[in-house]
Amino acid sequence: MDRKLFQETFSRLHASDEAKEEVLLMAMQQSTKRRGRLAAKTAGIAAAAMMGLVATAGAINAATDGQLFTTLTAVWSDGFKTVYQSESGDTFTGYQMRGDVEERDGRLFLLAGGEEIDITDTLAEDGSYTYEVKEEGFSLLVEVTGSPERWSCTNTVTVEDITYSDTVNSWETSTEDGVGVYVFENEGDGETGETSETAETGFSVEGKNSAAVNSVE
Amino acid sequence: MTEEEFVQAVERYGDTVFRVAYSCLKNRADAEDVMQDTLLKLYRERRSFESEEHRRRWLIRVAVNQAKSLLRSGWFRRTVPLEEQLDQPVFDRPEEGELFEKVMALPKNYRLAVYLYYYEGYSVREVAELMRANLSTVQTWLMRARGLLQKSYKEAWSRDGS
Repeated sequence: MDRKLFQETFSRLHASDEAKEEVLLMAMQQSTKRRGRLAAKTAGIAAAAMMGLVATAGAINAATDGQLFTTLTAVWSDGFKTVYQSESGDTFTGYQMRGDVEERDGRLFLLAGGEEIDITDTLAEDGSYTYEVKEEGFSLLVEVTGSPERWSCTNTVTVEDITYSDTVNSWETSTEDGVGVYVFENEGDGETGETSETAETGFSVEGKNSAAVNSVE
Repeated sequence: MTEEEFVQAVERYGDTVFRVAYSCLKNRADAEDVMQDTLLKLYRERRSFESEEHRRRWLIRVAVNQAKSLLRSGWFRRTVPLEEQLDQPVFDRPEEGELFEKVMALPKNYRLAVYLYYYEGYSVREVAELMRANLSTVQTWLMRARGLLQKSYKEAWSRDGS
């Protein structure tokens, strides 16, 4: 058999670009889903944040044409940074400025900045664990104190000159009602691709807003 | 595996995995499904590979297994709809199209062995490892495949000459 002809022939056989793009998207979705509750909370906080931003940030309000609700679709995430697209095609980048503590199989994990950190041993030995991340214009400080069995997690977010803080305790019935802070940057007009003014705004939302959660996909 | 590494892996191995699957399944849609499943397994795979070649062979083995599972499940398409026939590769030369058609007409194991041997350049021993078959079995498949192809070409030449 003519090996060269064989190779030239089968070189014509390619998977479609659509199939390759689809598998990349599937992987990203898996990556987001793997963080499970964290991703859902991120999306929920993001939606609540949108509502808050409309009332407090003129640039975002203009970008959403004054709508109070819009559907945001997460198109990419690494667990810390998430790119959302609104119905009108505007893209927003959100940074999940919050750390959460999760108990799993007898171990304690800190979920923050897109990472999952096993803090069990450090907390048992030192009685505290500190996590800090700084981005341009904002920073997140997560302090976990106590023991693996009984701990407190304090999130302190600083956005420009404003500081937000909350504490979640392990012995409380729900650890999901903490303050979440989400920072958005409007990355531009979905139609023209031009970048409008960047809005960086920090804000605080408390608890879960079921209406807001429903508006985020 | 980071997302950036995965993007590179899809670019580097996507077509290889697709061709392996296509050699088994003979239709684009199922082959792309297997490609996606195989690559997602790579994404979730926690082990580190000794080399790129090690990763490549792992992908080929997984793709072969995935394709076999699909065949066993009965979900694969037994007939190729017309629109999929039109989705065949476009060949520059008639002999390419002819060879493709004849290889695709071979039995499944022969097709895959031929693809791995002649296109991917693996030795008979390596093909046997990838297909989890005996060395002698693969040798037989390759020999019979060559025989069938020669016969097919002779018949075609005979028809053309008549």
